[in-house]
Amino acid sequence: MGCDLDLVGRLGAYERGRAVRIASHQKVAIHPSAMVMSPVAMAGEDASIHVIAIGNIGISPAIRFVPDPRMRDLGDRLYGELGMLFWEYFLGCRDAGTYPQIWVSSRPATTLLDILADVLRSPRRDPMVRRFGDCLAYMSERHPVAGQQALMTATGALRQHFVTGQSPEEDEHLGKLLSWISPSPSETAVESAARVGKIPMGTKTDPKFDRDVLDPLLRKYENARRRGDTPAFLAAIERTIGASLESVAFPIYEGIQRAIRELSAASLPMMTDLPALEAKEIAAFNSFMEAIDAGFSIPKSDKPKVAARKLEEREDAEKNLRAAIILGTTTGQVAANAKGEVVSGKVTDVQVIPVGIRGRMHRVEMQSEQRVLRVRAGDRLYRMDEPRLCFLVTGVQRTGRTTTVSMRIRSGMRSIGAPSIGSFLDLAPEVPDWGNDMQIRMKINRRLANLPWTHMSGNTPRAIRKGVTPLDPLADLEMLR
Amino acid sequence: MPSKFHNRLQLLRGNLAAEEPGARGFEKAARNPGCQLLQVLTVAGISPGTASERIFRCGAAEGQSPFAIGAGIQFEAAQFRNSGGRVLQLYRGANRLTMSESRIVDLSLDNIGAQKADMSRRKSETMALLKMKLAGDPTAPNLIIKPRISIKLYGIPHDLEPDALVASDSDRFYRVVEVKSYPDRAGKTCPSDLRSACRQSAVSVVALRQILDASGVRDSGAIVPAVADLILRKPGGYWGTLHTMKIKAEVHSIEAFLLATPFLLDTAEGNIERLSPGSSLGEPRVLDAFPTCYRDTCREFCALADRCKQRASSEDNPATLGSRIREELASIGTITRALDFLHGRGVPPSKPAEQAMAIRLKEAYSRLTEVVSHGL
Repeated sequence: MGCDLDLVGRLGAYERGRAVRIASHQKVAIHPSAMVMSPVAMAGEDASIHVIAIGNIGISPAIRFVPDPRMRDLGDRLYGELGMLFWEYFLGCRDAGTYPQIWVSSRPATTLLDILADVLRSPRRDPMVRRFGDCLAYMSERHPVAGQQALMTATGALRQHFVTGQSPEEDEHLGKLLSWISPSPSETAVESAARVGKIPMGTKTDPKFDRDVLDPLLRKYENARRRGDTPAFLAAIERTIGASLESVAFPIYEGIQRAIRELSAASLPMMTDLPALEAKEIAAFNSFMEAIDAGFSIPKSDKPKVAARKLEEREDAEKNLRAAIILGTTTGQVAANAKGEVVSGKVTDVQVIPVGIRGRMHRVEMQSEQRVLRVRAGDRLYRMDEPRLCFLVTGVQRTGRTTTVSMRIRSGMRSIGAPSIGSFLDLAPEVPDWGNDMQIRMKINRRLANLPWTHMSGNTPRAIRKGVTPLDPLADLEMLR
Repeated sequence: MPSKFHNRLQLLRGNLAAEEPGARGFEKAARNPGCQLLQVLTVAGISPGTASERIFRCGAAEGQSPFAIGAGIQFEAAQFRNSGGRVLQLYRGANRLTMSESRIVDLSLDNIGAQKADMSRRKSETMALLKMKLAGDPTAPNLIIKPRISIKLYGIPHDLEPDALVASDSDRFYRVVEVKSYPDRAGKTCPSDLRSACRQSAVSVVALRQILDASGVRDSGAIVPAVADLILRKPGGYWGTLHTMKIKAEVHSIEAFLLATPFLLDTAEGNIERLSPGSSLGEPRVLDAFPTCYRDTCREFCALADRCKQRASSEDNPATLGSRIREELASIGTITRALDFLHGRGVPPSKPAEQAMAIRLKEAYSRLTEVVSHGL
């Protein structure tokens, strides 16, 4: 049904000629001290920054550029400056007990930062350049984690709250997306999007701009350097290059600022678990800074155990975010209800059954009229207004339009108590568990105490021949461990 | 002697000069089998950029940055410098070539030249080398740099220039190698970059198969399997990485496109005859008569994407809202009809699929208006 909300929202936006809000709560944190930046790379040099506009929310940017990023010494000078800026910011966040947050325009910007994170951490680079790489590596590591609040894309943040009357791919162009969210009164959103769609809002310059403006300037600069022209002359060319690059980076920076303003202006209540997501962010950041202090940094590629742990953590983050959205936002609950993941119904029977000498088991039956219901025996369901109360489904019976769900109370009986007959329940399939990082690590360490044979060098276990009954099948199985 | 199709294609183009599509042109035309417009333009020798700029006068939306072109040229040059030293290193590191398998023939422009006669020479030399390999000649080269082959369309050869062809002594025939300066980020490598590189390789694979078929060789598909090698760039430098890619689907799509081309020519001529006898594809209304199949991915490779989107929008096509919605609303057909179901107005749904979609849309609509403070 989440898809249906998107479908209906897009149809509605198309009809209205402007974006439609599809979120009841704000799902991303806008950190007051967040950095906003619009890095632009040179075409063909994917591991470069040609120009960057950088600042804070609501503040005009500082523009930094290199005349020609293909010249390593010039590029490293810029990266060193950015490294100092970022490191100061990170230290400030640590001292304030908070976490760093960076806003960029869209997905290509996160890709650029990811590439730079790898390239700039080469041991041959200047320490401050490597430090910039470390900071970017942290951001890039956090970005794929569901619910992270460190590296934010303006398009991603807006798309969690609005849908437009164009395709999702076009929504990744920040200018087009903003055209739909706040269209100009003098033209339609479609006309505006078509017009601004020609302005680059990612990390690349327009090929025509490169051909007509930048290439001639860079040739002039290269020739001047080769001739050994005066520093004043070189500086003058550099200023011209800088001015033309600023005309590329500045609109992107402004677009990001506008996106943040639009989100703030929607004045949505915060998602209930947003503080928990931010707490996770602080914990992850503190862990990173401790590792840096100890002389470690994020490796470029993970060993198997670390990779398995990170994969488990990402899956856990996805599960937690999903649960947080269902429990903490109205639209999430409605979507999950329509999908049949949230079970809503009336309690029709509560029985107390003695178990053993002093034990008791509480059986609960509820009836639901939902058209779509995804529940089966063995599922755990949690009461949405009291997540500590957990039910275990023991049976599901559908008769006509009514589904009877039989459950027993698994936990929370003492703290919450059994529901009364006639009361209405909304039951969710999962609840977020924000404090289980240690459990995940212990689980992975336990399971991977011995590396499986697939990750060990040496002989693979012998294959069992067909048609021959093994004398000891269990021994053969054990050999595969 | 010009083939009988030459004149037909010339008439289709009118005053426009023929443009070689190259591997990129062929693979783009094959990407969207439902778009007859792109396919007709390609077979007629008109690029989408020319159609956009000179026929529709929308302004050119194609063209690479000179920096990207320069970076690509430099990366290629670095791989093939010193008789393909780095490429050999890659293949030896991957145990694809041994130290003794180092027979290299360099047919690049630097070595041979860029005049028309030089191009013919490159082609004939390439053919000779391919025949050597086919005949099992032990002195056949292991690496051919910048060979020149051709793919035939209506019997007219269109030249292609794969970056290299590679074969060990034990290989039956050559494999296509494409060198691309896209950054290699392992699992995070840009999918559209990979897609483009694989599809270009597929065109060369089909061309090699055609060459074998023309030479009377049986089972060209087994001798030239649907596999290609990609050499991508390690970010931050000019070192390459080698990847073997299976390109079965890509080869199939190119072959399917080539199979459909006879009908395209007849359709194109039929359209012109019907609309404006004696005119050509150089007129906008003639081009507008060809069906298109707008998808959001068209933007990735076609200069006419914006124009097609406008057309799809005027046709009330749900494709303007994205591929997923296009598929969801397939049973309904148009955006207007979907909106009618949403608001419970207009002609009621008649078919079961329409009825199911109508219920779904109305339910979703009422839930959305419930939960957001301003309705639709």
